[in-house]
Amino acid sequence: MSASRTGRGDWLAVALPAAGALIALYLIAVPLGMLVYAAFRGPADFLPMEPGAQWTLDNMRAIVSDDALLTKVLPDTLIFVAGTVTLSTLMALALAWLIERTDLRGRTFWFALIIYPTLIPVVVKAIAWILLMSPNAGWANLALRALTGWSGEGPINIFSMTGLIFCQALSTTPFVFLQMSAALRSMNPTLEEASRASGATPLKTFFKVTLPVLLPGLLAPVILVTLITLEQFELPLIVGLPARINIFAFRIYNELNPASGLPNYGGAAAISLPFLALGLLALLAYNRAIRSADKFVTITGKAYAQTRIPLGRWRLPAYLFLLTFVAFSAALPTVILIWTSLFGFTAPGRANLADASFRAYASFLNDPVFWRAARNSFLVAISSAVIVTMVGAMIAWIVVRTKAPGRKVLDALTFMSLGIPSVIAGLAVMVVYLSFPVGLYGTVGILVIAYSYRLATTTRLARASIMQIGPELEEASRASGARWLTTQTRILLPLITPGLLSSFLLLFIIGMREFTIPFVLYSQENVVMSVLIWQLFQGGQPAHSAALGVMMIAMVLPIILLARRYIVARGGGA
Amino acid sequence: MLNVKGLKCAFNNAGATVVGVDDVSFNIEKGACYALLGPSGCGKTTTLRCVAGLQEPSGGVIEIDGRVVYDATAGICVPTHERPIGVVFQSYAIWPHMTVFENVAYPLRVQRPRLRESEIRDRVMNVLSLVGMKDIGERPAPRLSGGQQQRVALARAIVRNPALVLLDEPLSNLDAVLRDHMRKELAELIARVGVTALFVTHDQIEAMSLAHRIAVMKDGRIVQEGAPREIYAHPRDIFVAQFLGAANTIDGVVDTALADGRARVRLNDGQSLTCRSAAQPGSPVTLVLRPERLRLSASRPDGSAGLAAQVRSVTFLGGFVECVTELGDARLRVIGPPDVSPEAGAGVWLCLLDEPIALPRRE
Ligand SMILES: Nc1ncnc2c1ncn2[C@@H]1O[C@H](COP(=O)(O)OP(=O)(O)OP(=O)(O)O)[C@@H](O)[C@H]1O
Ligand SMILES: [Mg+2]
Repeated sequence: MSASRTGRGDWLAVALPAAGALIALYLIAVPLGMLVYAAFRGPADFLPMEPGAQWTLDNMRAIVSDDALLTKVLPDTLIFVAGTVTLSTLMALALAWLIERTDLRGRTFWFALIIYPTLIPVVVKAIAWILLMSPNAGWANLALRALTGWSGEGPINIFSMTGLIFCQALSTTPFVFLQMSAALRSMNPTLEEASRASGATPLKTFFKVTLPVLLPGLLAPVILVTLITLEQFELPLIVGLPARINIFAFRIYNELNPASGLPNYGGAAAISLPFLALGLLALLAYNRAIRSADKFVTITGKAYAQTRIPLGRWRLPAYLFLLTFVAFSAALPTVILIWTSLFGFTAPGRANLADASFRAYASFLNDPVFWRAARNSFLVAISSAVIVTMVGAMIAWIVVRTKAPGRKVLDALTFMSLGIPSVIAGLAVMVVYLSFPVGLYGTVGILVIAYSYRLATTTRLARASIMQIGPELEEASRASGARWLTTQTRILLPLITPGLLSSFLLLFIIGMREFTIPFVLYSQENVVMSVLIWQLFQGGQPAHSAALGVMMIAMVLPIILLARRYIVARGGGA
Repeated sequence: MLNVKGLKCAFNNAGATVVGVDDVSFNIEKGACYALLGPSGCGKTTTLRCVAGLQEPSGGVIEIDGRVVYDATAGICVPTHERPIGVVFQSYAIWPHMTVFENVAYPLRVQRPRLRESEIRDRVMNVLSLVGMKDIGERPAPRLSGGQQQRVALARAIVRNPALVLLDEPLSNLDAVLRDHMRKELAELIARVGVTALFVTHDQIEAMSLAHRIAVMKDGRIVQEGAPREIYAHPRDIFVAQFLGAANTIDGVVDTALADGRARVRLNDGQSLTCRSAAQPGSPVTLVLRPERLRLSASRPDGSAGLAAQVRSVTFLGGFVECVTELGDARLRVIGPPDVSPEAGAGVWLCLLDEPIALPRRE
């Protein structure tokens, strides 16, 4: 694009990308700017722009002098993150290795089972795991007690740091697994073959070639899962809170919803700054990792046929490990949810099958809150996915294809969205729309805007698809006499559609699962299903809560399966 | 028809300025085929992209078919889609999401005012049959062979009867056998359509067999311009001489200047030759001896000029023999019929079929 003189009728070539850039700024920079601003405004219970608010360092002083922050919140957060990252990395690496590099049977089947739980909202899984592992009546405990004769509560206690880390790791492992198996798959086997042909033993080959080549590719998912864990809210709230574990996301929420008194906006903003910095630091590390992974050209997206290692006598332990993992992460939670939706708290041993009842499901039919939540969930997930996909694609295009000034800043800004914990995103949006009374606060609209900060999800996918399309395909169109918009809609768009669809789908899933943002920005009007599930569970209606969870899975699963089939048919693939 | 004057194009490469094209000027007559020939990185593609408007130059004037499409000082830069051109890209750039027919129809479909569907169909079928692809119009584009892609790309470039067709290394993506075949076909096609063409290549055979005129480029500049035979016979310098075909070079010094642009040159080993050269006596020169203008002989040739040399190696290459001979510190390559087979180390005579050219050499 010759930026200055694009000629008649092609003002669109400048206007459309510029509009995309502005929207991106609005979605990310405005809330973040407001957050930093709020951190230095006081008194604490005033909004930063309210009359009477003024510049102050009080909020900052308050965190420095807050002992609980240093002795409890920070250590809890760090232990929680470190434990989760370690455990999920180990499990994911083992799973990826088994599936990509050994002669395990039924690999496609196992693969599907491992990633299936990513579709289930974490709240739903959290509730299922409580039903499975709560110290008094968890199914696993009942079974263990019956088997070992253990008396009293336990032996497993989900309400502990160990329990929390275990659940969180179960929940994040599939994400790490997906990326690690991609890294393993894209390892060029001739590298290893060359090593073996040079006389190195398989073990030497593994340590001298395989591991060094794969390391950057394996490091990136580890850092990414650190970021994901850092922003987790659901499990710390549902599983961690009863165990008095107090991580930072939770602390921010408490500042906004104190047991007594007014919300402390300045305090919440001030606390979020160091954690935002932590997130961005991890993001920087991630950026370095993917760069050096690129340098090795192992992560090309190209899949090689791998030489597989025979499992031999390790076959049985391997299957046992897979089975245990899948049981806890996917199978048991699903079974428990279905059971609980039919039988309530009654455990299998004590239930009479004839007592099964669809009352919980039926009650939703006439429940306006359910319909509102269902409508809101879909509305917000779909519209934010559309917005993010469109804006993100435009930004990817600007970054890859133009020399527009400021594109690097735009790129960095959208990438940054990956490092912003969602509780902070929710808080930032809250402060913005409480300050500007445009009637968005408490509506579905504010959720759409808040969800849409995740531009990095699309820019990364769209960028990859655009880069695969040689610029001469677009140039050929221009040389055929097509103007800018024609070229974009007739050539580029159809070619990157599979990539955009994958991005849309991913964002849709993220949107349906989202809990933190709608929880922070909750109002009766904008309630979504994930929040409603938690409210029902809190309110002592386990059957209803479980039934809603089952219904959510039942709604999302077919959509994803159909869409995936369509994408694969179009030659894309998420 | 195409008129390029003082074209300049500079790139900003991580802070440093790289001059891709530096003060390039040339003219293409209507209906002529013009080649930009030069080694990798000399600025051929950049020149072509400037003409197409895909790259904004930093100076100069470009005029296509009487219309100024770029003028640095007047601030004119007509966008690509408004220039009357067709482009064949090096990678062919066939859109994979369309059929062959739709690829070729595209330039017509994006025209305003819209053309009637029947007219589009007729014109597309016309060019498709012109390039011999009439029967595979409905085939999805990804399932084409290299040669077929090349034809489709060409059909797409000429379908809207552009004033000028630009081709970037149109044959470089084909294997050797297909390249030979397509070169002949392309020459025929360009002649038949009668379109004005500018093409870029680093292959001198391609340039000489396809183009009416050739511009040899080096480091962003045109070194020499002219008809193929003219450039081949009268290269301006060693670079052009060697780029247009394997040339033997041998150094010497002008002894005496003769009449009508000839000179007696003494080689470093003491032998003398009459050459085409305007150089002054005493000035150092380099002789260009084309292998196909040399003959091996066992005895001193009478009539034509000869040089005594020593055979270094003989390689049998099927249809002919390649013989490397040594003359002082210079090596000369000679092509001979397969039955000539001197012994390595033997003395031979090189007969010169015509007077070689001697180019001034900077010491
Ligand atoms: N987009 C660009 N940015 C920076 N430098 C460039 C760019 N395009 C070309 N150049 C530089 O300009 C010079 C000329 O490049 P050009 O592509 O025109 O060469 P070419 O003659 O087509 O070579 P080849 O035969 O390899 O295609 C080269 O030194 C190249 O590095
Ligand atoms: Mg080139």
